[in-house]
Amino acid sequence: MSFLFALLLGGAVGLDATSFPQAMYSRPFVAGALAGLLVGRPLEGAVIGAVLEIFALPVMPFGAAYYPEGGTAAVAGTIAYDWATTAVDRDMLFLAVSLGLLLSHASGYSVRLLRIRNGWAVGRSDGAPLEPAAVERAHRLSMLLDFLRGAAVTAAGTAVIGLVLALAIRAEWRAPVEPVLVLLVAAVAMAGGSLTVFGTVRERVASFGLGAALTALALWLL
Amino acid sequence: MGSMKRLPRVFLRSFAVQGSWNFETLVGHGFAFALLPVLRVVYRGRPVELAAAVGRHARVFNTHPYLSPLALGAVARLEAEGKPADVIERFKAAVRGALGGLGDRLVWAGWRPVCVLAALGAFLGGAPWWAVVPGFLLVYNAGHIGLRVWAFRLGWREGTGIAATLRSSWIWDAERVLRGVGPALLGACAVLLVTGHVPELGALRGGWLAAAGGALVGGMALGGRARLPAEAALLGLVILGFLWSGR
Repeated sequence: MSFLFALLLGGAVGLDATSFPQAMYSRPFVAGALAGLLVGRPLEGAVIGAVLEIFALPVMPFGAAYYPEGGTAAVAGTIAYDWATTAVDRDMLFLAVSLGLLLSHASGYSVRLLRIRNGWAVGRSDGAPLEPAAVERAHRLSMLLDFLRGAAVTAAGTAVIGLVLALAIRAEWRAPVEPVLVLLVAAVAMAGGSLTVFGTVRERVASFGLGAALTALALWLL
Repeated sequence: MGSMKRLPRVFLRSFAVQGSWNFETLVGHGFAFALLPVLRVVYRGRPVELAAAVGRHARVFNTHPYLSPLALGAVARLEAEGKPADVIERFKAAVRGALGGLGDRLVWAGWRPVCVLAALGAFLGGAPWWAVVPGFLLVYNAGHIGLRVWAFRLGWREGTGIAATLRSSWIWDAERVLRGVGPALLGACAVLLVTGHVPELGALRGGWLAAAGGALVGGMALGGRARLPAEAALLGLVILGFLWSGR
């Protein structure tokens, strides 16, 4: 039953990312926490989503740019993690996030395919008269397809990530280094990479340093 | 004006303006979809002219989705006033690039990352998820919906005069403030990431901390392109783990 709700959530998250209503519950951090809530593990869902969120920070949906979709990946990664584990398992957490990142690319590609389909279905308008009812039907169908796309990506992603996690458990997967620490280092790299969202590094590095210094000072005082 | 009664429907439909986004007409088809409630009143009893108006509005158009109500409000007014089609088309052509660029800077590179970073910082600093997630959604959408309402009212009120009003609006100051706050929040998040307030992730010490420092500098140098090597490193470790486990 929770899987069915997860598919509905995946569909809603996929729809929110571009089509409707862009209220940002499709952000990986939110989507992960909501998926975790569905399976009774909201904190771990939020952690998976938070790391995916850091990777999604520099992604800007400008114009017709291709971009990975982290929301559906956070839902799939969280549900698969819940399938594979019964308590906090940092190795599986690392695997769920890493595979979730791969899934976000596949999900982004599915958005591109849908846009090509939309172009074929509704994008040939050269200004010729159009029936209002036909415009409404076509628009609503595109939105329905986006919802189904999100659900399908979530279903397939959960199955694939769940399978890899099951294989990892069976093989007693272990890395030569602490994998979550590698994940943190990668996340810090992405935090640095996200600075360009706000302008050039030269323009923004002082503000970045100030935020970092004040936070470090606060932590030291507390 | 009878079309005024339909304005709330146009506003609500603006939330779905990107529902049929495509590479040919961008949000053009969605723009026609959103404008339809007003067009049906303006062209009541004139189906041929209505179909022609829908066809005109379904042509290529682009805007930031949160600022689409600005264009929708202005075009609804022009249609309600019975302005000629070529005047409306010239207006749409004039605003489409500007609204897209302005929205991208204000929302995608301003309000959204600032809200996300504030939420992430709170979570990484130890705040409970059940406070952070609803808090983020509430604050973010207060700004989101507020911007849409402001834009729609401005568009309907000013019509073709929106450009002059926009030039002297609060938007530019807001954008400057957000672009100053965002990097500071990013710096705070970077520190909180490595200091271990989320037990599931742990903290970095010694050599790992030095590696994080190097990764930060590398990330700054690469910008958004840092994602590729970071993902490659993680995927490499996933594969290495499977090989390592078989030993």
